[in-house]
Amino acid sequence: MDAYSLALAAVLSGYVASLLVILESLLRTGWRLQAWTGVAGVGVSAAASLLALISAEGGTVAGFDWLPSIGVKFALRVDLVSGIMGLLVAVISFLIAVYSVEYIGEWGAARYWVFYTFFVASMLLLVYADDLVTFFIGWEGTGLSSWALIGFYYDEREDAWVGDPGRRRLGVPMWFTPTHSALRAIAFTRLGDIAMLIGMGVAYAALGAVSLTILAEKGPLLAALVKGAGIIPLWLILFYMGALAKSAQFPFHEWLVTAMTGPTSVSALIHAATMVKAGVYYALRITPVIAPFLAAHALGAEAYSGLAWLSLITAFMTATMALVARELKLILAYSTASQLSYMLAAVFAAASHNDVGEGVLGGLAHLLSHAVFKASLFLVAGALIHELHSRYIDHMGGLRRFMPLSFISFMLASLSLAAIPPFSGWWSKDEAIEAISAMGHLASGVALVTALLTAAYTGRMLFLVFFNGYRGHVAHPHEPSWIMVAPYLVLGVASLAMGLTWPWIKTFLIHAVGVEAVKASPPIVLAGTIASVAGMGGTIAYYARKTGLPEASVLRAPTGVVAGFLYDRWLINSLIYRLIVYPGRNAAIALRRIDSAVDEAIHVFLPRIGVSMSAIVRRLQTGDVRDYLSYFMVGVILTALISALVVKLTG
Amino acid sequence: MAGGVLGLSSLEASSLLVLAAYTVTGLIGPLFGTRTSRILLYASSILALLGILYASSLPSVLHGYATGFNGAVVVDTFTVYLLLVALVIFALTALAGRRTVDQWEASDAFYAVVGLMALGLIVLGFSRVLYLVYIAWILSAVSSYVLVALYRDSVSAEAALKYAVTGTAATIILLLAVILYYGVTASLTIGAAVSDASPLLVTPVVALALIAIGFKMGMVPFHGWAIDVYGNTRPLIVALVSAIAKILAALFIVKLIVSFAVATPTIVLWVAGVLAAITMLYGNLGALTTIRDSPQKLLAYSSVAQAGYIAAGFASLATLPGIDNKAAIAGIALHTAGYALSKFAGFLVLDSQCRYPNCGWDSMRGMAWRSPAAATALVLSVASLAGMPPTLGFWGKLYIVKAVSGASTGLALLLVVNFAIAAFYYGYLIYQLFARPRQQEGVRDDRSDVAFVAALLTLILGFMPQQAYQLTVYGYS
Repeated sequence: MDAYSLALAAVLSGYVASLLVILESLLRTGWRLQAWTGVAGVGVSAAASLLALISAEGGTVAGFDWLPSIGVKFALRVDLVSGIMGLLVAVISFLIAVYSVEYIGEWGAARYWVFYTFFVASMLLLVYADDLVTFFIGWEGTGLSSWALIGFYYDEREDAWVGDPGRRRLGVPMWFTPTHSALRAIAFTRLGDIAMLIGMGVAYAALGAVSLTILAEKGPLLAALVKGAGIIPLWLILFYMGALAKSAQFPFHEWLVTAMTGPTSVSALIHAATMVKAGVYYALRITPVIAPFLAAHALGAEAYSGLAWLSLITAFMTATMALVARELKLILAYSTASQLSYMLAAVFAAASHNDVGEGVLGGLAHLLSHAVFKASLFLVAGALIHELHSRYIDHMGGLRRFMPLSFISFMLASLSLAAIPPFSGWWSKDEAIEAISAMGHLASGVALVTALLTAAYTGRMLFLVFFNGYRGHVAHPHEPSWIMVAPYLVLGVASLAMGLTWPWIKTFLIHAVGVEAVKASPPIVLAGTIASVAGMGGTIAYYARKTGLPEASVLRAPTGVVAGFLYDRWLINSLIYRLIVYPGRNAAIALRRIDSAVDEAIHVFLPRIGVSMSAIVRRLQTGDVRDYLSYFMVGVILTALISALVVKLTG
Repeated sequence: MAGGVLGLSSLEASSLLVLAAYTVTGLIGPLFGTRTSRILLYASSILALLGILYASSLPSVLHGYATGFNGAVVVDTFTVYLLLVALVIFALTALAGRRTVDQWEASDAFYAVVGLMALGLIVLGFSRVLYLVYIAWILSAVSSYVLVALYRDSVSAEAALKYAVTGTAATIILLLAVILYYGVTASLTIGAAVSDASPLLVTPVVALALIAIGFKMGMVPFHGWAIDVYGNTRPLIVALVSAIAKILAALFIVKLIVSFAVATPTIVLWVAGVLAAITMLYGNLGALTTIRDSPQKLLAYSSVAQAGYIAAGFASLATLPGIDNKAAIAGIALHTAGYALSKFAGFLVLDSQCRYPNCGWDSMRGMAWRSPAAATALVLSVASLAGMPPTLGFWGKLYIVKAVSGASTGLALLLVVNFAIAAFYYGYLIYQLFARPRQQEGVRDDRSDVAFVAALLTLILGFMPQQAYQLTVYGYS
């Protein structure tokens, strides 16, 4: 089979599995069959994507004319970049699918597996897509699954909430139920998607078709046309806005934070390892195609630079939030937004300095390592929350004694996240910061400070969960069964193994991205390593000195001004609600009132006026001929008056 | 042209033939019974149709107008168009009455009086001298009163009395107008140049003529009789009277007012415009609550409203010869023809579907299933009255609005507002036809078939509206 057929098989097996689960659900088979159908479908995808990567060398674009009249093709592009991404997505999906069998269990199984497999297929579709319309279908498919799975616990069980019930800032509630979060997710990302559609529409209007191939071929024409229209910065921002929203960049990051209401397996797969990477992936694919043409016209540098700064700010901001968060998944969510920002910042920063290859390398490297270690972290978190019946790290502590395998997995992944050598995160974060450093010392500085913060919150999380005394309510927490442990153990060990083998991985990535020479800057490596070790070591030392942490010190939300500000997410959510959501709701209420007033005017008052005027008219129709003759005379007089008046006025 | 039969021109010969045929229908027919009277009415109408078609094919008519009998008669295409429509209605009346009117006590008189009414109409259409106009008025007016009274119940008697009393007042006004007309032109001939254009003399002629014609059409406030006659008496008679009254009015207007419109356009505009505004508002507002009592009342008020639209067309005659003036003439012709055919059809359906004198909304409900022909006729005619394309009513209203907007934007806006108000009750009428109950039992009868033909004509003629732009009016020539 050729690469195209293999990629197509990887996509279709997910969709087929999704349909099969629907069928099984209609036939009322047991939940286990549905779950294993899902696992099998994703397993086939994983195998096919592996084979596709093996035959991806050189790159192929194939497909068929789908809507020839408007230049839309169904086209897949299998090259090393999409091959690597496809394999990553499919393998992690497979591991998490195995974990989910027991984690999800019976309640809602059919719904879960339908959307899980649908998600994997859609994600692979967007990964392999060459035509942007095909891409967009996959893109929206992932958004749909994300919405359905964030709101998976539609019974609004409190275990699944995000935030502290009862807490309000600026009058805005700071706790979120699953259905609310699901709507937030789809609304936030849809805003970006609409902008992206407009951006694609501009490209379509200019070129008559939009695909990676066409963009690569006709890029100079597009650049000239967009330049001629004088809309370069606007177009670029619109074109990337979908990616910014999907990959949780400020101010869209809010949706990702509350998306943690979904099952933890979903958080691991969709909201850490894969879907939120779709925006990064989009940037990885599109930027090398369009940035050189723009650069040839000396265009777009400011826009790219602005985008890079937006990402750096997001990285820093979300890292500070993670420092004070009390919910384990929330810490991981902040961390995800922060790490995504590294990837995007790398791409945008490099593009702004006409060195997009290095940015793509940094972005792809960090994407790869982050997907592995973050999936592991989330899966362990899911197991812990499940076991301890609490999402707060306040109720954990000392768990290394009860759950050693989970501890090992979590620690390996944490060290990778904190970028401690020689874990994969250390290598990949360095690649990203190297790319960011193209923007100058200030940018590198922000990236390094964020690295320090990352190591700090990782250390805090690791310590408060697995070290010190146990503070939980469950008497004897147990390690979950092997089917759950195996996936995260594999991923945790993988983050170490990838670190150990990184020089080879990097060579392969350099080959995949197609960059020439890669410079490594010793000062940056050194500074990054110091930041990571200092951040993690310092935090652990700080907490370790407080032996036997008194429960009261951690069991409440922070009260300090700064800590409170960070804990309430810089008040960004409150401001969004105050400035956009509530005014929007009030406008809707006002419009509804206006609408009902108009309705009343048309259907009540107007007829009432008509009836009363009609009654007056009909009262004149007395049936008495003397009245009629009187009217007649009035008419004669009226006519005489009008005539006289006209004669007088016109002379 | 000259040198035809007995030295008469073809025009003279054909007009004599038409007049003779209707005279026989009116005066001799009754002597031979109802059936003969009806057949005579039918035959004379067909003959008159052919005769007028022949006259209208004369080259001189096609190029404007033709005169005969030393200038006593004149034919222009505007007149021909309206006369043809009227003659079709007379012929259809003879067909519609076969199973209904024939059972009446005064059935032979009905056909004879209709014949006299037709005679009056044709005389009016052909007249070029003032006394012929006056004779035509008397002939048509008296025959209308008689027709209304003919059904011989108390309602008809009362209505006819009101009609006649108001009509007498209007006749006096007309007589004054005719006398002053002569005073101004110093000639019995219509269309002669105005010799003394002093406003003090010309203004009363226009104003008085408008009042008299306003009575004929049912313009407010000369309309009192119209609601009672159209809304209460036997619908079959109303079908004919209401249709012909508007055609008569449209012909009177071109005989008496057109030449003065050239002399005193502002007075025509203002008097006719104000009366038109009052009339259409009155009729449409009055019609709104008729949905609570009777569809016949609805059609009666609608007739008043429609008179307002035609009057607005008269007002726009103040825009002197030119494209807007052509639109005004086309609008008056099309709208009057559309009105006549749809009101004829509408009232005939009421006559066939209602149990006179109780014509309530219950007799309308479910008519679409009970009697599809009648319902179709009513839908088509109401569509034309409401101005739905492509019916005659649509084109008439379109041309009138076009002409009026050239003369007065305010009046044009008011017209459109009134069309909108009217859409409600016309829509309600159509809605009732399709409402439950859907009983299947219903009888087909001549009246609904004839109504169907008349309503279909509003549709068919609606496909050739551009012909109306070629219509000529003698007074402008």
